[in-house]
Amino acid sequence: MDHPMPPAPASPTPGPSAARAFPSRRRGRWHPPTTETAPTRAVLIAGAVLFLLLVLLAPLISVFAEALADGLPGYVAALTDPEALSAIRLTLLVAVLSVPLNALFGLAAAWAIAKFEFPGKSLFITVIDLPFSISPVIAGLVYVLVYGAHGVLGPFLQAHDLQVVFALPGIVLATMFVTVPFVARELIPLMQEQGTGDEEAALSLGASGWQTFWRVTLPNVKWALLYGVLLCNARAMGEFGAVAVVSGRIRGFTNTMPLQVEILYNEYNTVAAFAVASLLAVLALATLVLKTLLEWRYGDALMARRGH
Amino acid sequence: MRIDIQGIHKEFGQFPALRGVELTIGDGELIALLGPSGSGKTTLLRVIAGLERPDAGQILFNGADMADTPVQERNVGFVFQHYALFRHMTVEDNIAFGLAVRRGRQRPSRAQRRARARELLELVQMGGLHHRFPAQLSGGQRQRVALARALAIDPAVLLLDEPFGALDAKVRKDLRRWLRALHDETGHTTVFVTHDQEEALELADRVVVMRDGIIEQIGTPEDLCLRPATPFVYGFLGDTNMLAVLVREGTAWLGDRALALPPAPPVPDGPARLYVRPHDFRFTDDSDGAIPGTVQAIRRRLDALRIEVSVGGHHGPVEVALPAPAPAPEPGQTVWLRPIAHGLFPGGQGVFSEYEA
Repeated sequence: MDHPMPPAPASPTPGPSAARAFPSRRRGRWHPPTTETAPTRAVLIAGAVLFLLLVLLAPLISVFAEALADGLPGYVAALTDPEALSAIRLTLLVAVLSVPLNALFGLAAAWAIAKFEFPGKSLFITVIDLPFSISPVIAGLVYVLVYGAHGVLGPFLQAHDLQVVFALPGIVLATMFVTVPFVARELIPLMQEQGTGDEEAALSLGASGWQTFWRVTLPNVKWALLYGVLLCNARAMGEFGAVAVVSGRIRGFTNTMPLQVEILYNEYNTVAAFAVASLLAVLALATLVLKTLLEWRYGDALMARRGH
Repeated sequence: MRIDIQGIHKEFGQFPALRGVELTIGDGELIALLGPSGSGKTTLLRVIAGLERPDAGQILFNGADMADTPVQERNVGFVFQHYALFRHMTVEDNIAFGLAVRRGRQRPSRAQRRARARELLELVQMGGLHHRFPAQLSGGQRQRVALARALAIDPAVLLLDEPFGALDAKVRKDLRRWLRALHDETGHTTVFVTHDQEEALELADRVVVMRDGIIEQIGTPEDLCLRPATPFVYGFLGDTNMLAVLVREGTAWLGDRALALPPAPPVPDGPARLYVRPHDFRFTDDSDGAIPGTVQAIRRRLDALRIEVSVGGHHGPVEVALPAPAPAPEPGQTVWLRPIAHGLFPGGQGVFSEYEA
């Protein structure tokens, strides 16, 4: 455990007897109590890095490697295949529809929870968390049971010629179910902490309810809202289980990108499967970069709030 | 603006926050609502502003009932305890907020709003800091921005909730003096809430002492200091000693000794409580009518010596303040104490619980 350290500069030069009284100080073994020694740290860090390499980074790299196995032309061809294009379009459409709806709902829910008292509030908070604990497959099945041809609302929907399951509405609903908590969960603690003081100040200065919302409440949570939307979006594009159940996997029509990847892979069309997967990975990485950028910004906002 | 507060009741769930508050605030007056936490003073302030709705009673502004006027239309400048500055806006935008949210003709142009904000920043002695964000200001500066923001809407009444509560002692004292000067300059009817008796006495024209949702006393600082109306006011305004005495034929008896007290209105026969502030005791050589005691301990304070004197019976030690350069008795010495000012209130011990700071 001995490692070179300059002799402790503190205290007047110790005589021989003092050196015997404080041997550890002379041998320079002191380190801050909350840190480990350099070798321990090196081992721990190396372990973590190795783990990340094996579990996260290597698979990610292999996705791109496999996708480009037939060279760039093969990669482009796999992505411009009509079915692949249809899957990409559908995935983006589902995200565009479900994310704003969930953002709106999350904001409304967080607002209600943070700023008002009403009976059943804690039950409400629990229900928002439900999608985190329920398997997505069950979420999909529930929609089939409710909206499917033999479901509760089936006859009504058929009578009015409305197709929910195995069509876009079902996919959007299932995606929304899975991603409901993301925005609300980001906003609730923040809005609870902020309380109603700023709103009261705005109202006392003569602002109307809408003005207070747009000029005070929304700006106060904008970074958390964006952060939540980003997480929600990442999950919406990547969702597999719930969507797999309600989509019916009609190729070229109700196949989203994750479903398309699975189908291609099962058909041993590895290059095409990994090409679509790489696109999903790029979308995920872009989200990650945006999220990191937001965290810098959001972190500042957090600091500002603490200083306030 | 004159404010009449008539028979205000307010409950939060089962907890009565205000129980029949009556108060009239004159035009241009500076009023302090003073009381311990839970006394209802902040609730009263919020009821006046329209941030809380009273369960019963009326608030009149210049004789007009405010029951159906929401906070937006009451034209009150409210300064919140933690300032509630808009953290995403600059100081200038914070101050101009009340003008920017006005509608139609009422709304001044951007240039006018800016000019008004700068003018108010000068008034609160913060010229040049208009581009700062709240997080970049000190506590005292935030306090003054909050005040400027409230003043920007030219309010009919200025309401301040614990305006100096979150500031350190030195800043607090400076701001207090400055707020008094500002009030004298602008003449707004002003109500502020505080639990600091020194702050209330130094700043206010009149002080309203509250406890448990009722008003204990309304008076000038002079009234409160020299003529506390209730034992609570006596105890809340400053250090005091309480002695349980028995009144017989107009004379207060401490155990078997008749006390010679300064002249005061008569008190009915029976148990009573005698209040004497530490600085109102004098040591005397004349034992007639004085309180005998033994010096237990002497403590040094900046402005006086504090002498603890045990007076026997079941009382704790009595505290006596002795101005600094006076000859002090020794511990263990027998002394005689004579009050030069006191409060005598009928009723037994334990009828009221003394405020514990």
